[in-house]
Amino acid sequence: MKKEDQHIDHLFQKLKGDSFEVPPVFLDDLKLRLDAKQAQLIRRKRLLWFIMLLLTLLGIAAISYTNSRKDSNHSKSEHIGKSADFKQNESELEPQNQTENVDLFSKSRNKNSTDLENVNTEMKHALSENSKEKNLNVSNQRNIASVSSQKNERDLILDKETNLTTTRTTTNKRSNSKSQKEFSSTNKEHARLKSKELTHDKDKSETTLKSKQLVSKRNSNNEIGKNASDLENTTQMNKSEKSNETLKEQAGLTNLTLQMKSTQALPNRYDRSLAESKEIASNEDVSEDKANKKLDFELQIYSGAGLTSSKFVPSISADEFQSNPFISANFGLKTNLLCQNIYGSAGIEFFKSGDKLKFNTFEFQQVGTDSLLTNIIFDTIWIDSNQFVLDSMFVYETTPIFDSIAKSNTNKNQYAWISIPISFGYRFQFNSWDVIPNVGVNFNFGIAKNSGEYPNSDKKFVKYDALKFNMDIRVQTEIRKNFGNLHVFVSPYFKKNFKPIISNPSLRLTQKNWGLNVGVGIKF
Amino acid sequence: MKLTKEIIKKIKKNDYKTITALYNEAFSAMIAMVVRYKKNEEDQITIINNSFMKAIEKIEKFDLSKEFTPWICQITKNELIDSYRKEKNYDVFFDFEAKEDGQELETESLYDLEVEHAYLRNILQTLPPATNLVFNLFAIEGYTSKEVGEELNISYETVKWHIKEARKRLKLKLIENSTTYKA
Repeated sequence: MKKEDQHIDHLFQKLKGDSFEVPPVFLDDLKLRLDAKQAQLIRRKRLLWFIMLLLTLLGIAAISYTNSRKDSNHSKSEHIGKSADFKQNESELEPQNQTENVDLFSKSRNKNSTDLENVNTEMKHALSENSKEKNLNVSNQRNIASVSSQKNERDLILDKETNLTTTRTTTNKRSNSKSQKEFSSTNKEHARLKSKELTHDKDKSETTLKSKQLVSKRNSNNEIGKNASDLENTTQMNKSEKSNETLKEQAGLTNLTLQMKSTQALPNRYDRSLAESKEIASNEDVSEDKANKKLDFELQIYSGAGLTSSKFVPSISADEFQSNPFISANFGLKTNLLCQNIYGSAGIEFFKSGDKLKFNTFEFQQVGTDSLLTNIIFDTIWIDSNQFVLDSMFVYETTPIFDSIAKSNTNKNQYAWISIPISFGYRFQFNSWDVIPNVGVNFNFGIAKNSGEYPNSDKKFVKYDALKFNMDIRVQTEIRKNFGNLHVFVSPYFKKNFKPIISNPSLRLTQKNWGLNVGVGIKF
Repeated sequence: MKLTKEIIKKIKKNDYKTITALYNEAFSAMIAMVVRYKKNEEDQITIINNSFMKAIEKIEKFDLSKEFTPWICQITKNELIDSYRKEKNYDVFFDFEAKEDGQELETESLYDLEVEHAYLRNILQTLPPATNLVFNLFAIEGYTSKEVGEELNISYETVKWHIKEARKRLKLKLIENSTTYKA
């Protein structure tokens, strides 16, 4: 018995090595699968590119955000620096202002003296360069003074002496160096005088002081001038001394004039600094405002309608079947985050997609009746009413006539989804209008038993279940009009499935969706 | 067709010609196995093409030192078993009523019987699916009763019963055939 069992087993083992030809139907199915695989590979590549693009956008957004933060910090530090400069200016200016009211050269205020020394140094340079001009100015001033107080003859002598001393001063370096050394003390005297003058009416006191100084010095010069004819050497020495004195005078006057100018310029400088500081402050306010407004949160509600176009693989849009776009509604809620002009959005949305198949069926219907010869009886000889002899009889029966009638049918398949749209974009601002092109991904979750009926190769409708989860790529442009914190927008969009919503060896269904959303939003 | 790295690269790139050539070569072995289990052509297409697609998707895992046909046959066999496992009533798929009729069939030796392979396949497919599956694995694929039990997650007794039942039914069919032949 066992041997017999083994025999049976062996008998069937022969089947193991059978050889077969590949039927075309197997190859057709394989080709479909390979096409589907190719499409999947392309989709994967696209998805990869999309993710890379998304990451690049995110990177750019992150970099620009970081840079903008750095800029804001930099502008703040710059402002702090400017403020410090301003304070420094102010501190520089303050003592000068104080010099108008207080003794300019008090020992406790070394800074002021340093400032004055700096001014004097500048003056020295100015004097060496423009000594001629200054001499002329001084001589003019002297002329004016002499018109008012002295005689013309003395003025002439004085002018000559001045010219002589000036030429000697320019040639004699030693006397210049001596006179320059004496500048500081002379300047101090003049500064003291000036500080006193500043406490009084500046213009008046200055003029009087100048005239007094000039008169007194010219008198002494006149005395020297009288003795000049007696002792030339002494005169020359005196002249050199006088030239020093004249230089002192010039320096004093110039110093005084410059200081007066500087004191007159003070308010201007202060005003300018104040204006600058105000400008900086206002800029800072603006930048602070911008920094505050750098992150805008928005909430939007929207609704819209779209057209779904379905693509079937293998194509079922043959002669008998025609796929038409499907109109569906959607609505949702989303939050936007605007970092300057970089736009990010996430939300929740309900939408429907679907397709409408039109197809013709042929139904057999009775269109009438007809008589049909069913039998011929050859039998007894009959004689009919006309006395004709008959040897056969035809038997007819009534029969219905059927014909195929084409009938147009429509099959509608709907799929309902809850979607989480996430998108990134950039905002272009035009006054109160904003245009925000953005790209993103929709994560779709089927909320109902999504299934559709589609014809198979035998033209019979078969039910296919859709995926429970799918992803769409979404390209959208939001055009909005702002009204303060509120805005209204329209948003045309296009989205396409990453994966087919029905993926079956005999049917693959992908959908594209075009639509327009309208909504309102509020900015927080 | 000996698989090489270049061929594998082409397969990975979804090269239609290479894949079809490989399919033509492996088809005979795959269909020879599948026809013993599935008589419906659609089922056969599904099993064979699913197996082949799995194979080319995992082609980088293929050991180049080995033959492709046994590898694809193993994948096909697993696909077949999975197709049975996917059955909703798989739990009761192998259930049987143990009836001992006490009647042993007295048959002449069937070993030398010349029967067409097509006929053998036909009578094999007349077996109930569960019995057919167990008998195929045991008698043709060369699994032991224990291995069949482990593979299908059924008891040893169930395997034995199905083998016995298959033999009994096949004998009857063969006797019918030989009687007809002699007549």
